[in-house]
Amino acid sequence: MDVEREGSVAPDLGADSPQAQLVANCYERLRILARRLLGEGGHAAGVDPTEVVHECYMRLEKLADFRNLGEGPFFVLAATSIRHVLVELARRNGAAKRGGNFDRVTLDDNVSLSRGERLDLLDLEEALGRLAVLHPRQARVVELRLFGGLDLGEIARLLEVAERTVSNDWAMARAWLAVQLG
Amino acid sequence: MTENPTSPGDRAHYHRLESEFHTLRSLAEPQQAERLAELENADPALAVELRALLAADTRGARLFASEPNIPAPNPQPSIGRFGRFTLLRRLGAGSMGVVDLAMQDAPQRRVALKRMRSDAAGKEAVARFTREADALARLDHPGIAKLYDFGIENADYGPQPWMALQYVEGTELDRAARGWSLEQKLRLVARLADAVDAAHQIGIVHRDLKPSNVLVRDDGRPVVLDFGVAAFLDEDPDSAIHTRTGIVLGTLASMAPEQTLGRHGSVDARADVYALGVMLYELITGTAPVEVRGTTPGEALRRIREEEPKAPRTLVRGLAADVDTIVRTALAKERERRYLSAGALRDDIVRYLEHRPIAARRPSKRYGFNRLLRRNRGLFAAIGAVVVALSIGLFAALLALQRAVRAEVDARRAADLELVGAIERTLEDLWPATPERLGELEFWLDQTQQLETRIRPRFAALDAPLDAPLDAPLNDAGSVLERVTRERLAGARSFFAPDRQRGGARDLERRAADARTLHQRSIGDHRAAWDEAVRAIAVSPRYGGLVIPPQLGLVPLGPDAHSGLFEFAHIGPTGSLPRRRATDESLTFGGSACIVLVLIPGGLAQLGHQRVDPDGARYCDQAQPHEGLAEVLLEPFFIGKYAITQGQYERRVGRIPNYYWPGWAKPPFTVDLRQGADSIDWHEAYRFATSLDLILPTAAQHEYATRAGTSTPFWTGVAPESLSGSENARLTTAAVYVDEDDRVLRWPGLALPGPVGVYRANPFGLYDMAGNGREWCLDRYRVDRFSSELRGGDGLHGPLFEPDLGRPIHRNVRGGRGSVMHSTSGARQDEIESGRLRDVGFRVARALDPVERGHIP
Repeated sequence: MDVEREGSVAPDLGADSPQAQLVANCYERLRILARRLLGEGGHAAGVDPTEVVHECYMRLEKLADFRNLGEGPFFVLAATSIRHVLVELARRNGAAKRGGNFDRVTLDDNVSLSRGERLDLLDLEEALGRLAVLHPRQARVVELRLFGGLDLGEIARLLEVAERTVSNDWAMARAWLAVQLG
Repeated sequence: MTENPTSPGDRAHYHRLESEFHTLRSLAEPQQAERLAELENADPALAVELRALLAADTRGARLFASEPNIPAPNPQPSIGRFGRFTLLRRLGAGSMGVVDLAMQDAPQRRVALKRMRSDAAGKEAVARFTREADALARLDHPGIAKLYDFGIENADYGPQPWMALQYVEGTELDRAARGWSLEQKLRLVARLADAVDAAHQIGIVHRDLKPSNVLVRDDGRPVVLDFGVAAFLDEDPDSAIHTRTGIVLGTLASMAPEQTLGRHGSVDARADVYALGVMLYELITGTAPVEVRGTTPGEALRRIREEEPKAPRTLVRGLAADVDTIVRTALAKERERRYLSAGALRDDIVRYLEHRPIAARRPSKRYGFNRLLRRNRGLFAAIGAVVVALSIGLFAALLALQRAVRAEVDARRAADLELVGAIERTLEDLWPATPERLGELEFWLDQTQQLETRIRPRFAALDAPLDAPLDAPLNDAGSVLERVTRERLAGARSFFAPDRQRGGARDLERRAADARTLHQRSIGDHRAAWDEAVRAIAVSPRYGGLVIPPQLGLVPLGPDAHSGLFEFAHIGPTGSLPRRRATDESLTFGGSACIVLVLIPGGLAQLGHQRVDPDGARYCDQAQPHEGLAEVLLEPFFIGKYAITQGQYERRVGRIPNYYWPGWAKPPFTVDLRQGADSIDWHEAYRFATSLDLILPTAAQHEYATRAGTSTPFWTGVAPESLSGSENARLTTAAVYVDEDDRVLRWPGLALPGPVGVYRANPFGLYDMAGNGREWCLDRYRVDRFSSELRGGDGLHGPLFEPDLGRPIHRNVRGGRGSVMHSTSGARQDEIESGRLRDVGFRVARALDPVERGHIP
């Protein structure tokens, strides 16, 4: 390991490599996503979006082949990691709060069913886990959509299936999840 | 099989479910019903599941609010057409008409469509309907469902008036507010009152405000529904009571006493104030002020007129007296005693939230007595004489006097302790320590010194043991009082302690001394340097002949070798003066240095960027679609050469706010006091600046200073690559720098801020303008920014403060970290001002003193 690498917290990618651009891009995208998911400031959730982004980044960085990933796989990973970080934070908060006899933690007003009922992230996580067994691709679509912020077209290209398929997947998975969580 | 939730059988079942689901979705409504009926026979369990799925699908249930809003794939089945509307679902019906959820043809949007029944549409009713719709159309308030359109359709059977109102999605008030804090509830009612007040101002009274008429959106903002239509649906309260008991009992609970009399003419805006009071009462206490459930309508009306609600304080332990007073004022039986308007109610709530005295007065004892008297005139006439005879008894009077004298001594001693607390709090406001504040500082210093001589002898009591042991149960008032007094006395001793650094009597003395000597220390002692600076600036090509007087509180550091701009040290509590190195004239700036300001020449600030026209001004492909151009003429001003460091913040405020503390290390790099302060909210930044006779830069000043004469996307050039070495925006930048002690150090580029002044300075000699941490600016953030809105001189955008109604206030933030887009010169970001963000700090600015200030002969 050379000296240059040792002290560096950020990955040493070489200033303007395509990967470096990708990382910068990803960072920006993670930021926007975290902000949308957690609300501005994330205060309601007691979660700092910056922290989420940073956590995710740190996770991605640990992957050995992180630097050689193409854009598609990169976003798949990013979505998974943001999901895991959020769930982990929710669990951590939940554990602390349960000690104090609170209800299970929910992330934020913004993370809610449209009728204004709060969506428990841990419930969602559990339901997604079940869906992943019943229909892995649909679970992936939900993950990319909700935690990766991609639109159906982008997801179709990424999973290399027809957009129509993704759109059907999404409709079914969404209705199924809504029933499970309802 | 059932043990394992993921058996292949489940999977097969899921696929069957899915294929039926897609088939059903593709069918039109009647065929869909048919198919479902078939399935019902074949496989009832499957049919139940499918119905649930279809219902969820039709709702278009968004799982996350953040999910991009896409229209539900299947439009809701229609229940009919009316004019340009497709009716989707019946929302409600009353004696005068119906309300449907409908889809408007163009523009495509969902509306709440209210139609008057044609047989109810008499001439006068239509006229009033039109008047109200007219008024409602002029009403533009975020807290009131908007009127999109209204008209009169000529049906075969006569005219049918209708209105299309904004369809609001949210949760009903009582459900939404569950688990909220008192403050959140108060803010909510203040916002509601603001909406109601806006309607009152154009002459619309709601008359039927109740929790079910208020929806709370996902973002916590309330919206009042049914404005101007309440009267239309519930024209005659008496008939309504008899015909629709279930609905109206809810309404009754919010009905003002004067409304129970059934005389419409006597109902005014104060009825809505009462209804707001009912909501406030219910939100705070969880019960209705007057219980009307389970009674006959006649009994309910009587109770509303006569029954005094229980004081909220008796139901909620520890509720502030002011809140109690506000609620009771809104709920007064006689409307003359209520708030005059919803606006007055709102103002009082806001006053309470801002810890200012409220306007409403607690009903006096006499008032209560009068009410009692009025109700029981006969009884009181009989016993009145006896009461008077007793109260003039001589013995009783003497006893009272003796008590009063004793109480006065106690009271004075208590008042002294109170005063210590008051001065301690005042001290926070006794900034900046400038000669202008000297009168005030000396007044409080005088008070403090007198207080000290009175109170110091009492400190001895603190060393004596408590009468009751500390662990004795607190069951008598005497020992509680003793303990409270001891605690406050201990607080007073700490206030006067000679070693107390901040917020005590010694701090006040120091501040008064600083104010007295500030002119001498900044100008008097540096007269020659000032004379030279004033002369050099006047002849400098960079300032166009600008002549400045010596500036109070600053000491000239001479011009920067590269920028040619003059730099100044801000003397004060933030640190020691840096010096210029003889070798390259750079400043020795480290963790112990004070604030350094650069004098920026005035000029036309051309702000913002655009990506619409590649050949136009300030084209930038990183620009956001909503961003546009603006310009404003700026006076010369001072701006910080560096962002405020941890060390500077700590020396003034007494704490380090940062996430990464000094000593946090990733060897060989260690965070030190030279790192930019962060995790500071806007108010803290603003207080820090103003306490030092400084201010935050406006977004215009910040951008002008960032651009430093450039008009390219970045001050370093056109391409993002040009930023290399000038910002910490990308994770790949590293920097080499020299510290105070001339040691050469290196900071890796990463996702946390490096020490300030590490990356390359811009043409004005300012560091980190494109981003190391992000920085607060002075003005509030608004998406649109037009030149006409910017204040000439400093470019302030809109008012600095506006009445706080609990809406989150956004401020401009500039600069980037981890984001090239934010490192562009023209970008502005918004953050909520109360946010303490790990990557947001600030730098300070200052206007030029037009004349020499603060000379004390």
